[in-house]
Amino acid sequence: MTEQVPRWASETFWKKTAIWVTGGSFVLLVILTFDSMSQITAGGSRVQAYSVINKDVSYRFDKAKQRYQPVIGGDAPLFGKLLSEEEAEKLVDHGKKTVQAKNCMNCHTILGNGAYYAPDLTKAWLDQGWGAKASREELMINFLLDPEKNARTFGSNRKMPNLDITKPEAEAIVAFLKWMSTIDTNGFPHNFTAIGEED
Amino acid sequence: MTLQAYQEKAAVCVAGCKQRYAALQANPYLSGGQKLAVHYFTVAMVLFMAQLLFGLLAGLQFIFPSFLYEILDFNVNRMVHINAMVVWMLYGFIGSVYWFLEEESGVPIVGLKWGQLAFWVLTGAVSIVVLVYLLIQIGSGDDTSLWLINEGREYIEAPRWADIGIVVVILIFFYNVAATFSAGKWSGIAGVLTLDLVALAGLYTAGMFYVTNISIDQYWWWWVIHLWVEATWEVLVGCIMAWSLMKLLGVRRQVVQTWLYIEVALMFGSGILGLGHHYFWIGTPEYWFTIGGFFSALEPIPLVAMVVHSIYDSGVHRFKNSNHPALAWVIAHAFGNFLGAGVWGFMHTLPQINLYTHGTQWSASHGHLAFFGAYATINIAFFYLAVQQARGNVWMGSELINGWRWKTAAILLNLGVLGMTVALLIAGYEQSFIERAVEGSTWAGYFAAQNHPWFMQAMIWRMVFGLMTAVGGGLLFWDLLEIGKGEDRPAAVIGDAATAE
Amino acid sequence: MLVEPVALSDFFLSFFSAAMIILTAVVYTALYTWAKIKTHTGFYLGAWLAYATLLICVGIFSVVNHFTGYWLLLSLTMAVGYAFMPQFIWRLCVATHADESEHSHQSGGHHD
Repeated sequence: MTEQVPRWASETFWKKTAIWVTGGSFVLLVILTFDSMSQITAGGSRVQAYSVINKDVSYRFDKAKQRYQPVIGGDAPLFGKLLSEEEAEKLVDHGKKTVQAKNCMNCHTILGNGAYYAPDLTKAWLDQGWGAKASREELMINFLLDPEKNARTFGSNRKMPNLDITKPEAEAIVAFLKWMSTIDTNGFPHNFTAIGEED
Repeated sequence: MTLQAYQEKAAVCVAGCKQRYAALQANPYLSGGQKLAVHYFTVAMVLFMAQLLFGLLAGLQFIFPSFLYEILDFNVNRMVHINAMVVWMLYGFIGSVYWFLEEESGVPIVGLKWGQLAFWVLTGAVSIVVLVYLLIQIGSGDDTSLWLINEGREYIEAPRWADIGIVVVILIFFYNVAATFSAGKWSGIAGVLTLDLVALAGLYTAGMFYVTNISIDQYWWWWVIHLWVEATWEVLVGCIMAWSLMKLLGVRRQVVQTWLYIEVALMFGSGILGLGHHYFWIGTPEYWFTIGGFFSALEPIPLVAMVVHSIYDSGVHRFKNSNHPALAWVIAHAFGNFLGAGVWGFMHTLPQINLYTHGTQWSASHGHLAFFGAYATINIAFFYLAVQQARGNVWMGSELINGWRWKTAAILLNLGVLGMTVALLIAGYEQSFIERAVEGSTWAGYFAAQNHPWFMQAMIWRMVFGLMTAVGGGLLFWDLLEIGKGEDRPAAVIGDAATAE
Repeated sequence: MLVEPVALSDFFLSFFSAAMIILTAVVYTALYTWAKIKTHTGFYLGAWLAYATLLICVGIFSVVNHFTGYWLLLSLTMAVGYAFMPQFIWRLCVATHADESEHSHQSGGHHD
């Protein structure tokens, strides 16, 4: 029945093409995935080791790369406690779990993904809204513990609800946010002036 | 009304449902698989209504932030809104496959009992998950919360126990499809469908583990979201469409199957590596700019192919068809898919501009039209095909009894979604301008954009069109329950019994 | 550096030209296909007009998105791809439907 249909338009030809295109794309994706995984494992240049929360972090325009880049500075331990890599990982891990269990992503965006009802958290640690570096940690903790009383609505009337976050959870969230702000996100967000970089 | 009056009303309602259910089980026009399909379609429509309701609640909170504050917060409403969408679409797809499985394979479904059991298990699980979302909402930051309450990852928030349940149910579904085709006869549609289901179930497992590293977390999360929505779902819909076109327009099997393969090649060829456009800003290497940009530019090609083919068909067959509502929804699919996925997708996809649009209402605008155009429309079209047969393969051409209803529902739904999309587009444009480019994405910049009159007005317009969509949805549900009743003209015969060939 | 973001003043042009690329591509495709079916020169003229608009849009899009090097290849792919894709798919359409007219029932015929 296929006599009149030229070979390049036949069912079998396109069946084979479909299989090869799909297989080829998928194999390529798997290879790229292996490479990407090796580059975004914590401890590399793109995604920092968890103990980076012991350091000062900023975000500046990089002239060579022509885009914004996280900048890791000298010692600035979170909550004044210097943590080992293992301790830091445990803390960030607890923060990440809390961020998931409290369903943050359905109001906020994380690395730009999520809902759009509340600000992006990618560089939350570096936001100028915290005023000065010295008071930042305390302000963040207070806000997480009682967001209604310490509401930062910027005139929008949109308030974060009280999510029953405990003190250890709040500290862990801050650790997670600090660690996340060091990820090299290829210049996203652009034009962002970090806390302490205002001049 | 007194309590007693309410109770009486409820009793009447329950009795009505029971009667409908008995009528369905005794329906002489439906095979076992098709009765099971109707189960799925019914729940799909209920979930569609839930999607609309919670969408309205979340939309209202943009205008009145204190509405339901600390009772049903935005994150809860939004989660139910998007989860209901994902699940009603899956219910629609599964139902559609059960619908044509017996006709396509030529034998009764091998594990129909298992299929029925799986339906009730899945529906029970979905109900529990939604109740937990609404009543418990959040947990403390530990594994127990992720296993029992919610996983907090957009679109796949379902707690881990439910994830496992979903995979089991999909496997039962897969068994039924594969075993039924093996017992009967295989076809091109059968082969593509079976392989696609393997991919569908396999990809879901990529979203079923916890990692601390947010970059790795989002890397795999996109495998599920993107490769479901922009690859395996599309092919699943391709299979359903292929079968429907044989049915609706009487297109020959060989032509349909050749085109199914062509579409698979185009969709997977552009869609699989199109995944790259989600890997611009999550910590992944720069080469994803190149890959994501290139394959995003290719993604409209399947749409071009569809345009050529549908014009060719309309020129040759002149849209002779046996089911006007279904064809109207297929046409809505063609336009919605092209505008939502094609135009709206490409407008903000390349990294040069996505740097500013990523994570703004742009995505919401694109998401509303693309999901509606690509998937909601095709499910609704299939519901109309199914209901036609369930009512005794009756006439569904012109001059239908109460034909105003399906037309009004279709107009309201399409205009409503398009209106929301345009409103969100304006909000997203303003947001990318003020928050992203001028203010550099600080929190102050975020709120400056949210408080801007353009944004506030856009949210009001979104609400207006959201209400229009909801009214259309309600009307659609009503129409599906009633259409074809009292109709004694038989369905128009199209083509030459092509599907049997 | 691989990408240079769109300038603030060019946002609208970027969105608009991107949308127009897809829209004109489809208009061109539709008119071209229609012209083939009706064998009408008027439609061909419209089709090529749409394609010319598409080329202008690709040009504007490339300029405002600061395309250089690799990215220009993308522009070229779009310009060439959108020109020939509809023609290729048209031929595929005709070819796959080749035996339509003399199609007859084959009992038990089942294709795979």
